[in-house]
Amino acid sequence: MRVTGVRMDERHVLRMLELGIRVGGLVRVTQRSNFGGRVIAIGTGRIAIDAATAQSITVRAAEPNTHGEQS
Amino acid sequence: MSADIKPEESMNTVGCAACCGHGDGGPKPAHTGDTGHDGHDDMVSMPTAPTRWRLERLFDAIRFGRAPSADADADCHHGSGGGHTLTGETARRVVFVGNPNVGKSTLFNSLLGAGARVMNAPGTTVLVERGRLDMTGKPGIPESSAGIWDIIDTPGTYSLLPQSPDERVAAQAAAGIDGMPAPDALVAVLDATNLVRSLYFLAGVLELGRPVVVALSMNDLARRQGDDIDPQTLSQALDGVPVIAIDPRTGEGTDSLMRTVAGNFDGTPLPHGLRLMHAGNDEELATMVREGADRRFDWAAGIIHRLGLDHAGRETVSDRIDRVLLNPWLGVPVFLAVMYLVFQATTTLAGPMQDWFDVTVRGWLTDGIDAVMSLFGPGATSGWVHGLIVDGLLDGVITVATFIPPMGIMFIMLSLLEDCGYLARAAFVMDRLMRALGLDGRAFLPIVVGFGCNLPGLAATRTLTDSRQRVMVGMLIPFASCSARLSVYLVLAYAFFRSTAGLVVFLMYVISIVLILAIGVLLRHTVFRDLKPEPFAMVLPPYQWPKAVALVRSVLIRLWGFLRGASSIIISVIIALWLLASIPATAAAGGFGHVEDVHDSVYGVVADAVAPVFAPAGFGDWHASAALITGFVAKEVVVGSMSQSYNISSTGDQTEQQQGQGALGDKLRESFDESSGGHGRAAAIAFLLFVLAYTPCLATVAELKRQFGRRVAAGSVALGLAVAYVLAVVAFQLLRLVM
Repeated sequence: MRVTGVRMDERHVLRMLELGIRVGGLVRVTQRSNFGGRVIAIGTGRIAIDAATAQSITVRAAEPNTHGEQS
Repeated sequence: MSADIKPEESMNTVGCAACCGHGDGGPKPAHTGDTGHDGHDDMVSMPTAPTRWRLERLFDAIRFGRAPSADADADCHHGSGGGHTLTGETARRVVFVGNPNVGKSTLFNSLLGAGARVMNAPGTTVLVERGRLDMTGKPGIPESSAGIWDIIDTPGTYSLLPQSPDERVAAQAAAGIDGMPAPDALVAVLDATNLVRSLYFLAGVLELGRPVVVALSMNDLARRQGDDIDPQTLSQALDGVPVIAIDPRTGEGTDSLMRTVAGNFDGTPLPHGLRLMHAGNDEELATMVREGADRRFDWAAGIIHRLGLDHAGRETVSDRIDRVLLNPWLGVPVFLAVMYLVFQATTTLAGPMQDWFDVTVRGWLTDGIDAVMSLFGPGATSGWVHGLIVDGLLDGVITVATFIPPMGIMFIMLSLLEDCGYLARAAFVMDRLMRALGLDGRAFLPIVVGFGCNLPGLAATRTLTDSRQRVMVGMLIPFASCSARLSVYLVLAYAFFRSTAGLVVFLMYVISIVLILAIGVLLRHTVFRDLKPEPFAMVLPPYQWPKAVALVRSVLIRLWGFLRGASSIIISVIIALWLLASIPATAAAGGFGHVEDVHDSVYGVVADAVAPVFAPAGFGDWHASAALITGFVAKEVVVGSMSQSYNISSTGDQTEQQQGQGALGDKLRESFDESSGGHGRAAAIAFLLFVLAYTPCLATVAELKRQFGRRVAAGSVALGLAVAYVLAVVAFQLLRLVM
């Protein structure tokens, strides 16, 4: 999936960037965990994010024929 | 201020002279002339040299306990980074920086061993490790770089734009700003399994303009993931910034790393696409880091692309393990099972070893001391010197020794959990539950362990990456009802509430949990107001097998740190209490060291003086206050102290239940009934609540002081006493209406 937006304040958007989550970047969910948390893969790295953070990141399918935003 | 470097200029060497505009000891960076500034102008926004020198000396003086040298200029040889040895010789300052969980501290430990000192960064509770290496005569170290190296390990950070006090200290130490000494070289520890993020961080570090050597870790894991990164190739991609592959757990590559640092104090290249930052303080650095973020990320992505590492990655073994350990249904039960194991290890496993120190070793040493002292005549073993050595000094030493097993086991468990990669998962699993207190999921472990013994609980606070969280959890742990308090609960519960004794003890644990939550909320809205819940986003390191050598090394270093830090306080207070109990206060009490009845000693006088304070709580009786004073040292000795004060001879093998229902119970009921005006049961509950909430033991205070400083330790003692007193008084005043 490709990140289309990070709806957070500037400080946290920058922290997400530092962790590798940036608009235009590719991510995929490798694990759904308790309380709505997610583990996402960015290349070979793995980042754990809580439900609220996951909801603030919008993505769209990276495949050429699939569109539509989801969070 | 930011210098716009043209491609051909960016290859120029930048060195320690970039931070030493006033000195002539090092080469000036060629870029300074090209950017329209001379070397001195580049330093305009930084503190003036003499100011910074004073700050450095103060830092050294505080950290190493030596007087600041008056001779400032004589030391300016390598930029402003030099620390100073005892002889006044300049020390090279090498600062280790990197993301969390990349093996930075393991690398530091393998280099420094027990020579490292853990200390708070000036004016903070942030822990920084520091140690000195004498590089003189070491193979491959040029003479010009020999001498003392001052090595500093900073807290792990994702950015030079800090979001916590720990990250701020790391950024300040790397940049040499805001009173932190400027480094002569930076060792950037990069994670080969996550090179994009590591390179982004490296970009910021390189833009500081100090000599930088890259230590590439986690290479074996990266290889397993299909990314074999050749250090030479990476170095070429970084336009010549030296890269050394290391394995901090085995020490592989560390010699080569140190040789490379030694050969690069004069400067390392600034790669194409990066620009020098000239920040003189926190705000300037933050602005520059913020403004150049996209540029640095693009640079990092470009390097990854050139190395052919920009693939999506594939499913790894760690992903498969996480499918179980982070499963929505299994995550919490697995975590609780791990907690149960840690709890059992620090209590059940440690118990017999503690007894061995307390009984067997104490017996051996007492016999040995008796044998030596009997050489000085038959009277020597009954004199006060013998009492001082056996009941004062030896008791203190044994008290310290009894904490070795739980602390050692805790350190082993922590190292195992950290090294294998589970601790980061634990933080994730428990995050939601701890969030109400403004803490992250990792705070759960120290508190749970605290219910076994507070001391290893405090040791476990080091897993928290935010120093404010560490301090807050450190202040909450004393309210976790440790197993030592259980002996007091049992004796009083059986003495006053025979048939419902179990319920009373159970309620003490429930109250302990309620207290932790209530005090947590109170602290979070007062002292720790700035500890707001942050969005949770944490890097999960790949799982790996812990290495025995690194594990043993880190356990021994931590254990030694505890013994060195806590033993002096514990031993000296125990000797002081022995002295109080040995000084006769009445004419008939006997001689010094031979006071028959403790009530006739100065200790008894102090207990008498304190007793009225507890009258509103129903136990304003010297026996109770004497037991509470002894309980400040350790809760294990409260029951013994009570027996002693009531002159009850105990065989030592009676259970708490037998003691509570026997002679001690009778005496307790008698004196509590008297001091409470007939409401003995209400006074007993009040006493139990006081025991639950006030300072758990001297060792805890010593550990709080060692980890967080005098102020936090004193604050924790004051908080415990205040909460305990209010609880006891309120409980007694309410319960006496019904009991």
